[in-house]
Amino acid sequence: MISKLSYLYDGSFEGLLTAVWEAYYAKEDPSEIIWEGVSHPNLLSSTKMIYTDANKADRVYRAVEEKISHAALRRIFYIYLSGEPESGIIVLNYLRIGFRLGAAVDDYHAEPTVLKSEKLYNKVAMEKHRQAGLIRFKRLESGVFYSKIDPDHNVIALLAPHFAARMPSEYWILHDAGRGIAVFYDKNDWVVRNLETPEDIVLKEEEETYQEMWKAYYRHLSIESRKNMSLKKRMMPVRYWKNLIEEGIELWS
Amino acid sequence: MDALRKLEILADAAKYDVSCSSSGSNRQNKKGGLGNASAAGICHSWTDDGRCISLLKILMSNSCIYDCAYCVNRSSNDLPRATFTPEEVADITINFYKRNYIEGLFLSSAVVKSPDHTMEQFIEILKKLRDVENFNGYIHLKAIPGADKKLLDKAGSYADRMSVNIELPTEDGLRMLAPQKKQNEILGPMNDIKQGMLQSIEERKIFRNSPKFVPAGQTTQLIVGATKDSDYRILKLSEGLYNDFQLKRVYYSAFVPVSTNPLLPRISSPPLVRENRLYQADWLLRFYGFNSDELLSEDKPDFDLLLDPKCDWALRNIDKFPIEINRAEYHMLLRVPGIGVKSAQRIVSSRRFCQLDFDDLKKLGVVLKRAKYFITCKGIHSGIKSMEPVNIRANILGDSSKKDPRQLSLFDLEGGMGNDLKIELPV
Repeated sequence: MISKLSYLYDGSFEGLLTAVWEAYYAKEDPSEIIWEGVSHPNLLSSTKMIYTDANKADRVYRAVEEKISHAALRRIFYIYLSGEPESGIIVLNYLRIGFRLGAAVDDYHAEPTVLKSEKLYNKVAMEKHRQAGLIRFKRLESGVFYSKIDPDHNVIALLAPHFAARMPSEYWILHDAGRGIAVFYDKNDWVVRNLETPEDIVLKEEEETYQEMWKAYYRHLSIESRKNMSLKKRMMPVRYWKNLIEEGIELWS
Repeated sequence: MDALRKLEILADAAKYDVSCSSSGSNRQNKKGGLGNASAAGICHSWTDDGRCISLLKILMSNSCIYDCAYCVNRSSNDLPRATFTPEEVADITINFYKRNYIEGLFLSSAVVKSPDHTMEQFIEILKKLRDVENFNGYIHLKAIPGADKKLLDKAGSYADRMSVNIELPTEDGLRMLAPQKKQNEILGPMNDIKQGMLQSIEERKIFRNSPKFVPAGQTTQLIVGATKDSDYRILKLSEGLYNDFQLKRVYYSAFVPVSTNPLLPRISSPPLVRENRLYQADWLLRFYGFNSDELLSEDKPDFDLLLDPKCDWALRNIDKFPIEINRAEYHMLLRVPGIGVKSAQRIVSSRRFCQLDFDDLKKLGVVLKRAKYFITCKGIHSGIKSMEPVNIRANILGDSSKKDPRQLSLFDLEGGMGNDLKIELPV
């Protein structure tokens, strides 16, 4: 009987890169690389723990950049951020082809693994792009701009540079409530820290004025005779609406 | 009147301008400033009619001295009037921007008192935003036809994009529906903006820091269906605007009946399919290497409402097909119905690794349902036996009969990520 080999890692990007190193140097062919927190032991598979090693991770990181391309590095990072269960094994298989073909790997669109990697990369890139527009900041009593979001993928760290360039002179917080993490910006740098949903938050008085204005503006912009809700829902999926002020959410929720 | 009420009135009045893009400019933020512009453009929300909201699109005022028949703000129309102060516009823009509701400002206006006066008020607002508030977000400004060139120049040095709306595609149409507007008053500023852009590009070759002039280029809007002008005349005009005036975009807006003027056609709903056909054809001009005479002619002045312009062209040129996917040149791939710019590029790069078959094409994003009649893969043709245009046409229409042609769709991946009017690309 053929037994499957599963790699378990700690869920960090370095951990995933260490797993890639391990597969190469142990000459193993794991069928999955998953985060130990979500693994379900299976009688038919044997598991191997991967212990994150900054040195090994760094060597893989540099090898990808030098032997494939910077774009490939970005691609595997985005795939990792997707959080999908198959992301680990896609990264490994994609890199195997990449080390063979070099920078040309991303042109090989018809190759199944390359295609999968491209699809997953695009999903994350798409969400990053959408969130850049769909985030709504609310001004708190303290002057801080706060935003709660629930993205499908782990994109807040990708969004942080965007807002740091836009609003360098404000304090702001980007809160991924589902994952319990947030980006904090202090007018100089941003960091990612754990953050549970705060309970005692007070809005600045002006906040109500601008939210009302935004809702009014939004209402008055649609052209009744062109109404097309299915088009709207295709462009802006309903799952994102819960954090949108213009879709009628309460002033604070 | 408070700012909220003004906003309601002046947003209502601006909604028929269909341009919504915030793309094409990559203005960087400065130290201590607020905002930047993203070259790809960012949509912040979508209206119930499915249009992207990217900018705070408002009129400065809807009190107009003109009386154009097609326009909701014509002076003879009885409706509530409002005018923003420069402070109000700046305050709303800044506060909406900081809350990430918008990418910037789209400022238009009825003609208040005179074209010059209106333009001066615009400049007041732009100065407040750029010089006082240090705002570096996107600004799209409507140039007011008939305003002094010096004022136009000044405004252009603050804006990312400027546009002059042509509205009606022919001088005849203008004479009938907007007798106070003259074609040369529209084309004049357009030419001035073009000259300003060219001059700024030249100067920046020598002095890297000399100011940018309308870096995101200029656009215009044409109303479709308010006059009897054919698609051919409209498309010819667009082609001329792209070639001679180097316009970035021409927007087409299906005529929405907002008044009961006897000069206007009586229609129950806007001609949205026709609008969509024009957008598709416009795309073919800009990205697919077509010219207007290939698509329409005096003998065939209007688009087929059932078939997209590229399919229509391919059926009229059936002798050029089928082409072999693994050998055809890029420009020919682009002419196959069902193959867009992106899939054509992917075909060219993928076939370096191996010969492609139909399965591969599907993976690359080709719409085989339409393409199969016009291509072979490794010599195999999987369309129908007959290469007779009528038979192919019947098959294509049979496949798409369930689809509502009113559903304008597809993400604008070609021109950046979904930054513009959403329309169905002519793939």
